[in-house]
Amino acid sequence: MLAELPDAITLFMGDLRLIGFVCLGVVLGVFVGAVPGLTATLAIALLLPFTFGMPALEAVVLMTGIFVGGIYGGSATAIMVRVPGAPANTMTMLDGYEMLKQGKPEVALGLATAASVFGGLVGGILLILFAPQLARFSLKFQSPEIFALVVLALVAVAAVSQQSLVKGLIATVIGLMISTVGIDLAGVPRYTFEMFRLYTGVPLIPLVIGLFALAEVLRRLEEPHSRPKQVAWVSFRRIFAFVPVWRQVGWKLPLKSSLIGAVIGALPGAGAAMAAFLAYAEAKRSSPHPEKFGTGIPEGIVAPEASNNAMTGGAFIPMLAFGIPGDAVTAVILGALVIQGIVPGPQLFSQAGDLVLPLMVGFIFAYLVLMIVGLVMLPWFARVAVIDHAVLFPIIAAVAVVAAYVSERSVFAMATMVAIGIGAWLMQRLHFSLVPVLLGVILGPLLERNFRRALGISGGDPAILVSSWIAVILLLTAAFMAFYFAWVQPRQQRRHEAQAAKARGEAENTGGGA
Amino acid sequence: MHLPRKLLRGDAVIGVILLALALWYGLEAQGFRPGRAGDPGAGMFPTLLALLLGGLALWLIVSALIAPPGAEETDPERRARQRAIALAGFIRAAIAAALSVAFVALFETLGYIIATGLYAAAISLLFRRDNLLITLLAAAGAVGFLHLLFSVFLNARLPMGLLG
Repeated sequence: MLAELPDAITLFMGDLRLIGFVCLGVVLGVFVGAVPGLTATLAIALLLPFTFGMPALEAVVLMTGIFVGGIYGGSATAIMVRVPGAPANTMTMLDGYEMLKQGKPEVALGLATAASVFGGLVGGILLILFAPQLARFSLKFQSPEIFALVVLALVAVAAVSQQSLVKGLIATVIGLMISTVGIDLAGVPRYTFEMFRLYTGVPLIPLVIGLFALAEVLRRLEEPHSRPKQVAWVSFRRIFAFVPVWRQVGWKLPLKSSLIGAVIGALPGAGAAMAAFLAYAEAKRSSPHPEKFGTGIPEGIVAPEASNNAMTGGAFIPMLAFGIPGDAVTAVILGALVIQGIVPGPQLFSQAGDLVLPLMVGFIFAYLVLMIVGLVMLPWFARVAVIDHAVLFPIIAAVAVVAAYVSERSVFAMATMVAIGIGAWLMQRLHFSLVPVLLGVILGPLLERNFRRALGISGGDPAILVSSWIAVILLLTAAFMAFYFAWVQPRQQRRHEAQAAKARGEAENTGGGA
Repeated sequence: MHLPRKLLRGDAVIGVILLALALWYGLEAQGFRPGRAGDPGAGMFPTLLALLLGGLALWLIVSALIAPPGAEETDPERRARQRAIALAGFIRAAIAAALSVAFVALFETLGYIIATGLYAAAISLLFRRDNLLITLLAAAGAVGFLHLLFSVFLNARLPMGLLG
């Protein structure tokens, strides 16, 4: 497949529309990433109705651009106003804002840009190298293995997406239940309440918009309104001031952080925030001066930014190879592919090869665009943090509702979106994560189809589900993961909390005695 | 992190609601065409999901009942203030949810321009009420942005309602 890479590069670079969509996606992504509260997931969810009528490759590269820009954009506000645009930028904030206070905002922004591009390119190279290999391996998968793989993905996302495993699993099952609405494989209508419009299932575009756009607006309304902060201007004459500092940091740390990010990205549900946190922790652990982390040192910016951007490439690997998304954004992109009639997985590489390689080239290109956009426009993007929520979120809410109408040209789609949005808001209030719901909806049909097919082949004998070593390993991994997050991790956490409380008590006693 | 007692009690209630949902969902599944050899039937997968949800709901109820409650705010004044802030936030969001329902109901009758303007202004007022200019900016911004995006760029036909 790599032999076809030069052709894919030629195809991509010869198509000005594709290049334009990548650039547009990156700029849009950086914008939404920089606005606290807006995420790439929300932006892509709102874009779904518009991408429906576009050619698949253009739609996917546009979303890829938003993904790439969105992960990076939050670093600007994290550094400039101490408000991370997304949870993934929280670690960047620690040293980035301190560097700003030392009078070096250009260096901090430049380091964040360079580290993001470096991490993204490493993730992109790994994507090109490993996704086709994994896809080839997944050709061995029959119904029992696919069933086991989906079970593993659902359990993994449920386990890591929030504190409580049981709530994660409940959210997943609710998603699976929504996926059963409509006509089943044998033509039986299920849970349609005799409504004709539900025969094709709950419409995916209003569902995604409701889950990630309207629910977010309602959640934001619960928080007390905060005044926008003032942002310092950054001199363009000093946008390359980071280069000597980058040379001091060297290549080892960004490379190590990028590899951590790519691996985390490939794990379903782990996400950018975890990638950034682990890379920061590892950089601190292996540093000769760990006490300086959090005081504005370059390593504290480079490690998390390289890692959370490498995560993007990693997250695409299981999505393209197996049809299992690595995080919330790739879950929404997967939904967009499904809407376009494209089923990710091994078939994608054989049947839609014209899509996969140009997409990978587009991914790498997006990071090259990001380098330019980042350095030239980043000081301005940081200023979007001052946009008042009372202006921004009403516009988002209105676009969300009307976009749902446009997606199906019906008030029914709007009503579905609003119902799902309100339900999602209530779920969030009750500490249920929404990503497992979406994954359950998207992967539900795949799970049921392979479950029924496997039982059909075996004449109803469920032992077929554990008839191959691949299926057994996948199911055992899922079981181990569930056991760890249900039993081991809560106990470890309680022990740490008890130790911390004891240490606090001892310190207070000592202080009181003195 | 131990969850506060209030949240744990809430989890037990949610567990009961989920149990009822699982029961209804599972009973509905029994009405679908039964399976035969070579096809488990339309009801089998939903039945398994109902059982799974029922089990998880029980797990949620039991863990809420046996979990040790976490520390809650002891200062009554501060606790009352926190509750008031949370309640005000909940009311704002609930009003916005109701406004969204009304927006859907009146969208075709009023038309997208009037409905969007009113909806965006109302949501903006929920965020802050001290600056009418901001409210007007949000309403005009929403209408203008929607018009440009849907009518001009995408050529989508949106209902004009009273202005049609």
